[in-house]
Amino acid sequence: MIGIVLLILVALLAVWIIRTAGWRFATKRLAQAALILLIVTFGTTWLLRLSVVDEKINEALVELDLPAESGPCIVALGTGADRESVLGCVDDLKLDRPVYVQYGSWLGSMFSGDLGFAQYRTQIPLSKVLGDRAPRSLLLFVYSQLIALGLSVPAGVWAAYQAGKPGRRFPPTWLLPLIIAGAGALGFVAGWSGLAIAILAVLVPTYLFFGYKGGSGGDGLVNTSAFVILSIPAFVIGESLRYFFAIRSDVYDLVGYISPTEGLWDHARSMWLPSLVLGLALSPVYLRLLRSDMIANLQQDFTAVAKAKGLPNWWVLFRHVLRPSTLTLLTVAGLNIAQLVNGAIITEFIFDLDGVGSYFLEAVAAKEFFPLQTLVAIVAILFVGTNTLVDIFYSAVDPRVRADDEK
Amino acid sequence: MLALVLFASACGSSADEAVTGAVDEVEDVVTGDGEGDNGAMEEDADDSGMEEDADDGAMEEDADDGAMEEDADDGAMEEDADDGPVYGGTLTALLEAESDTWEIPGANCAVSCITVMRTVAEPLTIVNDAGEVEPFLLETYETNDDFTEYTLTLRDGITFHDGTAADGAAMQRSLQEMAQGLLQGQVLVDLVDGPDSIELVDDMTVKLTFSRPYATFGYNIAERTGWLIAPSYWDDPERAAALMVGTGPFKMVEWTRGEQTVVEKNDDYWRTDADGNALPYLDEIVFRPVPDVSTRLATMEAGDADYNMDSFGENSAFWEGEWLDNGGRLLVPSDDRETTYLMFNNAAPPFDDPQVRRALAHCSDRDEYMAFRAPNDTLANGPFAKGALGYLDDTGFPQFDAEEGNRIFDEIGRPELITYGTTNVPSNLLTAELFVDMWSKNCGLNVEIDQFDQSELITKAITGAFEVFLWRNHGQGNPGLEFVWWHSRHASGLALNFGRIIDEDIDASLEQIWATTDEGELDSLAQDINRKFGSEVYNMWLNTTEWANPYQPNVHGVGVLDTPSGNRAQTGVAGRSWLSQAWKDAS
Repeated sequence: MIGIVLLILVALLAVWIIRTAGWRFATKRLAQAALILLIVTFGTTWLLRLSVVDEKINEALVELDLPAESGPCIVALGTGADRESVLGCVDDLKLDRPVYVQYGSWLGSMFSGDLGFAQYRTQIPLSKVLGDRAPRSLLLFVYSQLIALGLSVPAGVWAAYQAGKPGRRFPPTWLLPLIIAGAGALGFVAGWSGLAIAILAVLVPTYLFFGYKGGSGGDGLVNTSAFVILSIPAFVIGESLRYFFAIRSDVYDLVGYISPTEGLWDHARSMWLPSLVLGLALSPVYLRLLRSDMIANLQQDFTAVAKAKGLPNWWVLFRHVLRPSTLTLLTVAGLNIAQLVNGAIITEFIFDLDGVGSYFLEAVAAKEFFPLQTLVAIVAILFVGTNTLVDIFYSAVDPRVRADDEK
Repeated sequence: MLALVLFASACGSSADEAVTGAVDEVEDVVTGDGEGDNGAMEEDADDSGMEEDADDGAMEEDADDGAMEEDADDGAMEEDADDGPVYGGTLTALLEAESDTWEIPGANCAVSCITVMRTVAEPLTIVNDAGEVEPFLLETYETNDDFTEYTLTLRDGITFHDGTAADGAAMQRSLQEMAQGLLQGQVLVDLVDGPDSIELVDDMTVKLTFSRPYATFGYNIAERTGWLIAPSYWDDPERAAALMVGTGPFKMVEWTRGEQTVVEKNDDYWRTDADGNALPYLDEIVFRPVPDVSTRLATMEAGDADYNMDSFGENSAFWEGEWLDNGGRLLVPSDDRETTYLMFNNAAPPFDDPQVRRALAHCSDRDEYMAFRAPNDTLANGPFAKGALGYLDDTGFPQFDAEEGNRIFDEIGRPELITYGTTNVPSNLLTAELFVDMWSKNCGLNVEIDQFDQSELITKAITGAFEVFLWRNHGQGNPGLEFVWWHSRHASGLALNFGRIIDEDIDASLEQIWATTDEGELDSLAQDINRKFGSEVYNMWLNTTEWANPYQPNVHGVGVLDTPSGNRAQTGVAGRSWLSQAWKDAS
């Protein structure tokens, strides 16, 4: 049933692509997508099988008159493993067959809509586990993307607008070491808390100072801030904010994930901080990309024409310049679909969200090949599908792309 | 952002540990290894140590009075009885891992699973705070002289959560299902005729017949094997994913894997507390699996959970220091402790030679190990902790003496290469590097580290594809429960006697242990085993493992269970405890 639904969805998507971007584009993209999926899934199958090769274990298994490939079954069965159950498991999972036979068997299951089990020992359906976990990861991803875009787009537009403009002079360079020395001394006297307060006391006025007619200084400040955030690993951001908002104060409750069905307000309260963490981690990249493209497009003739027509600056920026500047941003945002699984893992752990990322790791640790292959396939489909859609959006956003493609 | 980072890092060591430990803990969770004192192995997420509870049923031998919650810093004691229980409220308990399934016969039901199950299912017998087995769900529990026949009679008037009667047929069914399980079946493997040896005698009575003396059976049915589970659960075709149906003070009403397990008050619960008050006190317990140990710590610190379990050695300073200073509470641990040790493969070179094992022990400065890797734990010279049956101050285990170690190696020759296996968890690797360094510097040994994924640990142990690696086990109270780990009949094939210990004396002692319930005899026989381990150096004992079960200041009754006979049950061991009679101050 799921397979039929998926086929229908793919068909509808194909129709839409053909109508929007032309049949040549559609054929080319879909064929590429299918090839990529085949390579990714088969490659995953093969690599997973390679990963279990431990010669010592294989030798020990053969000495015990068990197939050398029994390792994953012993992992699955644990201390309950006996000869009979191990052999049964090997047969069920076809571990003693060539990798292409295993792949074919898996592919056949996928097309028939059977996603298999999440764990061999308990035979709990993978669809159930994904049904429980996927919404959390998806929502985390969506919220974090919204936050990242919400932070990076205004900041990027503003920074690009300020770039190259005369503005406020930064206080004399010789003052900078004095400021740093003073903050350090205060930190030495008052401890880390005092130093943190001192830094805030310096930063806030600085942002205010350059926020108003900051010119190139303001652009520089935004860039510097982006680099600072970019240089802090996501888990440090997560742990720090968790400590500050959950332990030091009681602003955030560490209650894990609360579903929207249990109350939108409670759901929001459970998701805002992890989303902020991931959003902060993503925002500097978006900001930098957007800023660069905006600066380039601000120098284009169409911008000059728009200004010459007397259009207000904000209209020029957001209506004329922002749109063609989002191409790179869209591409990266599309690539970040992979964050749905791997990028959010640490955030899921820190905030106990138990999404797809953490299940992925559990499956890797437990050497559950079939669920892993299925997960990889799903992520690959999402990845390829999203990026295909992004390519389509290019055509819609920038007619020049469509014209190039039709040549 | 930088300011916040600085501010956070300024505000307490727990944050530092949490930050630096986050990578380890993520990796721990990644590898499924619980990072206990020095990194070990467990099939639960971040708990360290090989907790193989399945085959013999873990035994919680807590000699301490479970009602006493001692403030470790100043010795202040809290007497629950003085305060009196408050009815109502929800307790949030953090678990170190999610349970795969509640289908106990085949499940690896470790600490987290046991903690939940103890609220919804009850055992046939229970071990009291004097270490004795007494009936719990059973009215009577009788055995013949040679411990080959057991007659179990249930109490009247107990019902399952689905309203059906807990009677002899249900007990027979439950035990038969256990006997057929992959894991619990190993507890009942000596039944004369398999599950058919579990006979229904009358409406409330079942008889089991074993082919050999099985004196520890009463202890086995004081936990997993003895949990009485409703026939409706066994009949459920999808029981692997089904909610548990038992007789406990709470009913399982929700199980969202990875998110929470919710148990609600059982209004028809049969037992009262020691003062005759109805049980349970709480309306609800919410169990949240949080594999990341730093997240659990942070959640407790933030006051967003009421109870926790933690075996991560690096957190013990926090729980015993700052946590208690701020009014938090810790469950008093049992005398029975798990032991961390280096497990040798005694059936394969080089450790099939007792002289090699002895010499290596002489080459190992365990005090150095303790200082660097387990500063808050106690050095172990055997598998039994102080206060437990079988404990000895001096087991004859070789002490650090590099000169003697070198002398032996000079005499017998040094192994060409020793392979020290370790999981790829950073803490485990640190321990491995310490020993490698020690052995090569002290005795000129050539040692390599073989790193592997956590998931391969069990496989290597079961198949014997190892020479030596770090392990954690034992401390189950009754020494008979160690049978499967030490008896030679479990040393072949896919062996649970991972160390492949084949020792006639140990076999004989274990078999005698299985033929007696006399505490003096058990102690004496266990000491014999302890001395044998000391002289033969089948394992290199390192330290006992300390668990922390912290709970909030407004929570009471943790670890308390009043038995029908008027005694108290043992508080718990290795992170497991009772929440059945917990209550919270009125808010």
